[in-house]
This record gives sequence, C-alpha cells and structure tokens, in this order.
Amino acid sequence: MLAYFQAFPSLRDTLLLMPELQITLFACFALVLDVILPKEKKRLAARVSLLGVAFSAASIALLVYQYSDSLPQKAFYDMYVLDGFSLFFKALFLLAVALSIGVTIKYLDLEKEQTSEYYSLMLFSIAGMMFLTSSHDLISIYVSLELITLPVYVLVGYFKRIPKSNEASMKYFLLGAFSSGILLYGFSLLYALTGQTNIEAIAQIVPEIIKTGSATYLLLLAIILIAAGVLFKMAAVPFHSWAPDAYEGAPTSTTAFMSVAVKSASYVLLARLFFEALPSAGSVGSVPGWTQLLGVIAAVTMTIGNIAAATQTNLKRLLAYSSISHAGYLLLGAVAGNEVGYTGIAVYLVAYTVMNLGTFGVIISITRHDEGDAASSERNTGEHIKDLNGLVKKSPAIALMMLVFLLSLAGIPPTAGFMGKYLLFAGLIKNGTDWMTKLAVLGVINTVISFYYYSRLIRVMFIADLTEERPLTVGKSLQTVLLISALLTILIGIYPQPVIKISESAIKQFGNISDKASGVVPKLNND
Amino acid sequence: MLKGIEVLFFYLLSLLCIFFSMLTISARNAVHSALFLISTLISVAGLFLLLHAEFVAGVQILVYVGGVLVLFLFVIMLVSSGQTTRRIFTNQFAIGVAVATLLGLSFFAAISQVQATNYFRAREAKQEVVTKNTEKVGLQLYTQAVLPFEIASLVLLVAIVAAVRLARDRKQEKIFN
Repeated sequence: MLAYFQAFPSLRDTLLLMPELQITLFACFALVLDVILPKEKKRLAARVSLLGVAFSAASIALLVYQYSDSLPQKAFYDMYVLDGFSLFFKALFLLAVALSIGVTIKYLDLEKEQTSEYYSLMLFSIAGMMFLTSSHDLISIYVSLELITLPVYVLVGYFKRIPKSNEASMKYFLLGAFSSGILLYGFSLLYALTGQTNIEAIAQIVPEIIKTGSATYLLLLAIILIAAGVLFKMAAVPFHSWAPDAYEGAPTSTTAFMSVAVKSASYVLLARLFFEALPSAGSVGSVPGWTQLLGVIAAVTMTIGNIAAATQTNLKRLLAYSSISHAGYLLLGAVAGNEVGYTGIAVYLVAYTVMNLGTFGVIISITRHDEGDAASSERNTGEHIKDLNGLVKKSPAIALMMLVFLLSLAGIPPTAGFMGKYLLFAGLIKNGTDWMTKLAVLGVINTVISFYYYSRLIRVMFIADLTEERPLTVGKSLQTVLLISALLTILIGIYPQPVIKISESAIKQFGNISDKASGVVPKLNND
Repeated sequence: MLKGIEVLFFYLLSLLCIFFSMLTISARNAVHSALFLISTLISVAGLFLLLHAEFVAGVQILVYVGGVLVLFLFVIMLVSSGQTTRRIFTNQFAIGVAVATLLGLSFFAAISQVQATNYFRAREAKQEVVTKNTEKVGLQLYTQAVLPFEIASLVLLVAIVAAVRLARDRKQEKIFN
C-alpha cells in the first residue's frame, strides 16, 4: 500500500500530511455532529474527537515506522518538512489534546453546555499546531499560527453569558491580533533582507549578513520584532499582561488547553525561527546583544511570574502567573543554546503538559455551581484557594495526585518537573559563561520562591478543615485523565531516559551538537 | 530602482500614506477613522503600482477598499454608540511616545547602516527584473504556496464557525439544541 503511494510524488506528499488531515477531517465531523445529535447525546462528539486523535496518532506511528531512517522528508515544494522535531511535537500535541478533551467532557457537563463545537474548535487548533511543527516557510508558519489562535479566541469566550469570559476573550483577541501583526512585520523585514521565505534558505543567508556586517542593525530589528511576537504567544514578560486575565476569565478547560498546547506551540515557533532560521542565541555567529537580551527576558519573566503568583488567591490566576514563570524557565534552554538546553525545553514541555493538565483537572473536579447562580459574576466556582480546604478528607486519591502535580510544578525530585528543570539549568552551566551560571542560580532561587506558593496549596489541602461539605463528583473521563497525568509525571521523574532520548533525537537537527543531555543526567540503572 | 518622475510619486504617495494613517488613529469619530483608512489603503495601492505589482494593487483596492472597509462602515453605523470618551488611555500616552521614539530611532539607525553599506543595491543588481507579475502570483499560489493556501481556507472555515458561535443569541441556540 505504502509503496503504491510512493510511486506518485504528490500522493507521497499527501501521505506525509496524514496526521493533520485526519485531525482536520474529524474536526469537521464533530462540527456536523453538533447539528445532528440531540442534546443529551452531545458527549458522543467528544468520543469522536478522541477517535480522530487516535487515528492521527496511529498515522504518526506509521510515519515513524516508514521514514525513521530517512528523515527529514520534504514535501509541497519544501513548505512542509517531516523531521524528528515535528514528529515529536505532533505526538506531544496529540497527548495534550487527548487529555484536554477528557477534562473538557466533565467541565462542559458542569456548565450544562455540552456542545460539539468546542471539541471541533479544539481539534482545528491542534491541526494548526501540527501544521506549524512541519512548516518550513515563513508563509506557512504564519498561516498555521492563525489557525492555532483563532479557535482559541472563541474557546476563551465560549460562555457568552459570563461577562468575565467575554472580557478575557476580547483582551486575548485584541492583543493576539496586534502581536501577530508585529510578528508579520518582523517576517517582512526578514524577507526584505534575505529575499527568501524558506527557513533553510534564510538560515544560509543570515550568517553572511552577520559576517559582512552590512545590515546587522536591520537584522537585529527584524529579530526583535519577531521575538516580540513569539514572546507574546508564550506570555513572557513584558508581553505577559494578557495572560492572567485571559486564563482567569476563560472556561477552566480552555485555560488548561491554552496553558499547555498553545504554550508548547509557541516554543515550536521559537525553535523553527530562532534555532533554525536565525542564528541561535548561544551560537558563535549570533547577533551581538541578542543572547544577553534573551537572558534578561528569561530572568525577569521567572522572577515576576513567581512573585506575582505568590500573592494570588484565585487558583486560575495563580496558575496563570506560575505559567508565566514556567515560560521563563523554558527560555533558559534557549539562552543556553546548546544541546542540553534544547533537550531541556523538549523534556520540560512534556512534563509541563502532563503536570499542568493534571492540576487543572483537579481544579475542575472541585468546581461546582450553585443552582441559578450561573449568570452572576461572583459564582461559587471552586476557583479560590480555600475551595481546596481539606481535600484529603473528601478524596485522598485526588489530594495525593494534586500533591504529585504541585511537587512536579515546583520541581521537587522524583517528578517530571524536576527532570526538566535539571536539564534546563544544566544547559546553562554547561555553556560555562559566567553570567549564564549566575542565571542558573537565579533559576534555582526562583524554584524556591515557587515552592512557597505551591506549598500553600498543599497545606490547605492536607491540614485545613473542610469548608465545603458536598461530595466531589469526578466523572470517569476526568478520573482517567488525572490517573494518566499523575502516572506520567512520576514515571518521567523516576525513569526519564526514554523521554530524554526521544527529545534528543527531536532536537539534534538544530545546529552544533556538542554535549549530549543523557551524559548530564545521572544514570539510575547500571546498564 | 525608481527613476525620474517615479521618485516624485513615491515620496508623494508615502507622505500621503503616513498622513492618512496618522489621521486614522487620531480621528475621534469611528466613521472618519474608517474613511481615512480607505485613503491610506489607496495610497498603499499606488505604491504597489510603482513597484509594477499591478495585481496586488488591484486586489488591495478590490478587497480592502471595496470589501473590508465597506463592511467596516456598515458595522460602525449599525452598532454606533454615540460619542466615545475622550482620552481613555491617558496614562499610557507617555509609554507609547517613548516606545515609538525608540522604534523610530532604531529604524533610522538600521536604514542608515543599510544605506551606507549599499546592502540592497548590491542585492538588487544580482536579481533579474520581474515581469508578468500577475502570472507569477497565480503560478506561485498553485505550486509553492499551495499548502498555506489550503491552511488559509481552514482558517476561513474556523472564522465562520467562530462568527456563528459568538453571534447567535440564546433564543437561536435553543432551536439548535
């Protein structure tokens, strides 16, 4: 069958697109289901969406099996590239959306607004992300980016009856559109400088510009504008101000989806543009000042995110600030600019996906609405820290899983979060520059600050008295999501070698390979 | 490279473009703002014509001026909510000026460096002169750019779904559910 397709180049191209095509098809299918299904059967759309994710995952497995020795594969006039990096992130996005769908089923039930459009929009956004991972051209990068964010604007404002949700959507939309404009302006300058839109072609011309020094200022300006667009998407300081409002106002399931999938997508964007097209921050031929600028942004993002999170009482807002600080940690990998740092970004994104979705899953499990109170802005939603009070007495299992997620977010050893942070800091130290070592120390200090507010949550969960007597209603889907997330969080923490190995093969295409990440991680088993 | 009278037209159109875009953002009345935006876009279309990009210039006028802006005007007139409050963003004015000045200065520095090293002139000399622009656009759209073209159609589909979702009211929702 596969050999038959390979005889025709255009069919081979389409075959490479299979994961994206399947997600798109199932997104359209879920959209149509919304009209067909009666109200009480709408949950079927979630199952159909999960089926689409499964199909897409299967075709990714098939592509890995078929092409693992002959990567990268290029298609559509070099617009599309299938390499280790894109396969890795496609799989990560599918994991993120599968867990998000599980969380969403329960949340839409709670809100009594079980509609298929939600799943459909989520799948469209994921299709955009998958296109983005394989985009090898400024044009397709930009168009995929629009496909990612447009559905998310709607998902943020999905509950029209809640004013806060509308406000969040409006803020996110206006700032998002503005930042896309800035990004596009940077792209246009880059095109003017190089005369190319293809990433690979740009990567060949840019070093010449730096070497001759003929247009370095304009190049730096293009880099800064592109970086502003990318940093906005990942909510790094000073482009973070939208994140707390958008995260707090959005439906909790959307917040969960945004905070993992859209955030990971922004790092894919960073990798394609800054590790591949433009000289990466740590490399020798880098534009003067760029590495230092990125380092300052990472430091400020970590610190401001953590300090602001420490004073929050709303759980979603707290996690929004914590996600800003995590954006800062992830940027450290880009500052280091070596293999260890890049692997750290990939591993940390996997860890962040499972632990953050798990945390939001727990928040949804304690969410409840008082009857007839849905329209008022002050709803009893279980979004306040005190709603976690005495959770261990109600459900020891969920409290325990929350403990795992929070410890992982704080970066305490036998969890996935620790592994990711370890690699990110190790990358900086490996780079050896004096200020980078100091930056790693600042990162560790930040971890301590973050432990302060995560431990506050742990304290109320285990020590405080019950304030909410009604029992938890955890659905089957949510239970599964929590269980999978908790298991993965612990598993990656205890036995990280497989994930690190896959991450290494995913990022090995980005430039000068000097230090293997697996050399930094102490081997736990002897073989 | 522009020669003779083209240079005059370039400066004229550029100045008009800058002038109208400043009016667009400073106009207090939304209808005026939209009308100034039309003028800005027409000046940009003129700039495209100077670059011999006739097709893009035509599309610019047809799509933006003829389609998008007319819709803008309709929407403004339908949802017009009277006088807007003066100076909502007063405390951000200073920051705005600072950022704009900084950006302007850095562009000045960047462009003067490019001028001094003749970067673009040297590149221009190497490239062949592009003719038959429209044909080239068509070819590109269905060969090189076919994938982004298809993704863009997905974006449009999502935009329709989004618009329907956000625009329909609760009464209409009850019919569907």
